[in-house]
Amino acid sequence: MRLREDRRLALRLARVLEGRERGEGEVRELASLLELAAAPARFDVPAEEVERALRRAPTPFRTRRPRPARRLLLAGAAVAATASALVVASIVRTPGLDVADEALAALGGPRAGLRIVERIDPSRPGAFTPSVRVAWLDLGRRRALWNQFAEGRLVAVTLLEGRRVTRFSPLTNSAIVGPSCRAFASGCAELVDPVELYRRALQRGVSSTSKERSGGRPVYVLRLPVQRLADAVVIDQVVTVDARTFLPLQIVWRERRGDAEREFAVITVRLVKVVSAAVAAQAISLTLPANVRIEQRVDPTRGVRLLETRPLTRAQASRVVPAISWLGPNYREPVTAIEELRWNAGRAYRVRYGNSLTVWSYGALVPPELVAGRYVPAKSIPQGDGVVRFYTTDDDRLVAELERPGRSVAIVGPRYGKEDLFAAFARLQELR
Amino acid sequence: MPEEFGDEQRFRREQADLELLFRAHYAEIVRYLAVRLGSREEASDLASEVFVEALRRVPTLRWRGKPVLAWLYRVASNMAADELSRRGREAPAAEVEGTAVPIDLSEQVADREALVRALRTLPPDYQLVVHLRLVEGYSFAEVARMTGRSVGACQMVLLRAGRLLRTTLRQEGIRATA
Repeated sequence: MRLREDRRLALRLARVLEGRERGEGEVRELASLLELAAAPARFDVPAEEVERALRRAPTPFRTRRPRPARRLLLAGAAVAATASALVVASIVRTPGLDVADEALAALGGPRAGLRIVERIDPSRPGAFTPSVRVAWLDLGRRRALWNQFAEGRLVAVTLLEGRRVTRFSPLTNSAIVGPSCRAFASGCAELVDPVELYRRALQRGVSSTSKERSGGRPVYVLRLPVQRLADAVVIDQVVTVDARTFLPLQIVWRERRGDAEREFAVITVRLVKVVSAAVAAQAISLTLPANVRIEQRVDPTRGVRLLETRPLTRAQASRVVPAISWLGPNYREPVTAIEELRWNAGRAYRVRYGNSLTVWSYGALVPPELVAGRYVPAKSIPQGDGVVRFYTTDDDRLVAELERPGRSVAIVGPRYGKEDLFAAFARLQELR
Repeated sequence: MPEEFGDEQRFRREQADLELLFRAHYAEIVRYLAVRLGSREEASDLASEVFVEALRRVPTLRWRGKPVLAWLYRVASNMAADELSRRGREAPAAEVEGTAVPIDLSEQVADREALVRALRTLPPDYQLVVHLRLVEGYSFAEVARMTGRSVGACQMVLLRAGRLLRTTLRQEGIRATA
């Protein structure tokens, strides 16, 4: 009996420590004690100290990684397969220098704190609104803050603390708070910030490296395989790295579909700086305005059960409050179904356009089937008074979602590219 | 947090690339040892020894479903125990008697230090779970994988660790307010 009670308390303590509940009595007291006891151990070990220790370590640690021949073979295969010149003019192996190693070291290693200022532009002008993001990352401690600007306005602030995520939209003075990334349809899209994604990719190695000149200075161009989507679409990133500092200057996202390849976005890295944990800790904070509208999200992966799926007529759908979002009665295909889905923790509405496209409208509970794999790369692009986030789901569908308290909307398109979904967003309207 | 945490691909990569292993994990091994030893400087020295041992042993490790990091922590824990044993510095639980007075620990520097001392008196396996979950921020699933326990067992360890901390502090006359 005692053991059972302890198990229950242990589970509650875990939930309190994860910020999923406030706790009371003994649980709250123990959580405070443990947090206070652990806090002094969360000190920073600066990247310079790690590098010093590494230099003092026995020689084999400092032996440059012999890149496996497999990597060169892969690069060769990639070039042959694409049958295009692309960026890889030549594969250069500078004797004694491993560019990927140096580039990773320039970012302070895999878990160092970073301050990033980056501008995201569409490769095709007008495809989406350019934006500037200022990010503080301390992902070693799962803490991060992103400020996203578009057309000179701050459009989104996202705070990650432990597992808890807060997304604040200054333009609508609203915030969505989730117990973890799983409470958001796109997971934590920012966790795959282009620079962070580039840093992760570096740990897996590069497909090819070429030395070139850009803007009058020597640069390395690294090609990093990233992601394979549905319908054999491959997105990879091409990163231009300063040959002197080994810091990234530009990241280009390319999307390949069959033999066709196109650039999707160009990320200009204006600043990337390794920072200490103390500096990051000071910068990573968010104070919400007193009158902000807050939506507390539910984790759709925990204890959520579907109770009912009910077809709606257009007349019934038009009476739903807040209004259901859709793309009109026809969008490439006519509407084939409007449904209400009810779970034990909330409800959502689904408008299907044949087999090609689905529009979801939902509130505090993200429809479980929309929840993405946590580490699937995503991109966030400002539109109107919000930010549209793109991601792929675990079963490789492409999703664009716009979060708004009480009336979030997501478009799922298994056969469309990002820009096609972005265009669909421009056609969104209330079903009245 | 990394997507490959605990998978065989990452295990192989870290096994083959000791420099990557060093950069990825040196800092957290230092933090862990600093608590165990009560000294940041000694922690850095001992962490280097952990990685020297890694140089010798990691290439021969076999994949058993745990990340290389789990092995690093085990070695660090053993080395810390040896070091404390050698120097006779295993800190005994305080045996101060007195009336427990409620204090807001967050505002009392001296008592925070007592709390850190109390943390060092926890059994090493308890300290490891506290460190992995609360200092490094690994999920319970990750902590379970590294320590070879179930998620429920790790949660129980935290509960017991909290209670031990509370007992030790009460023996020092300190009672935390929730």
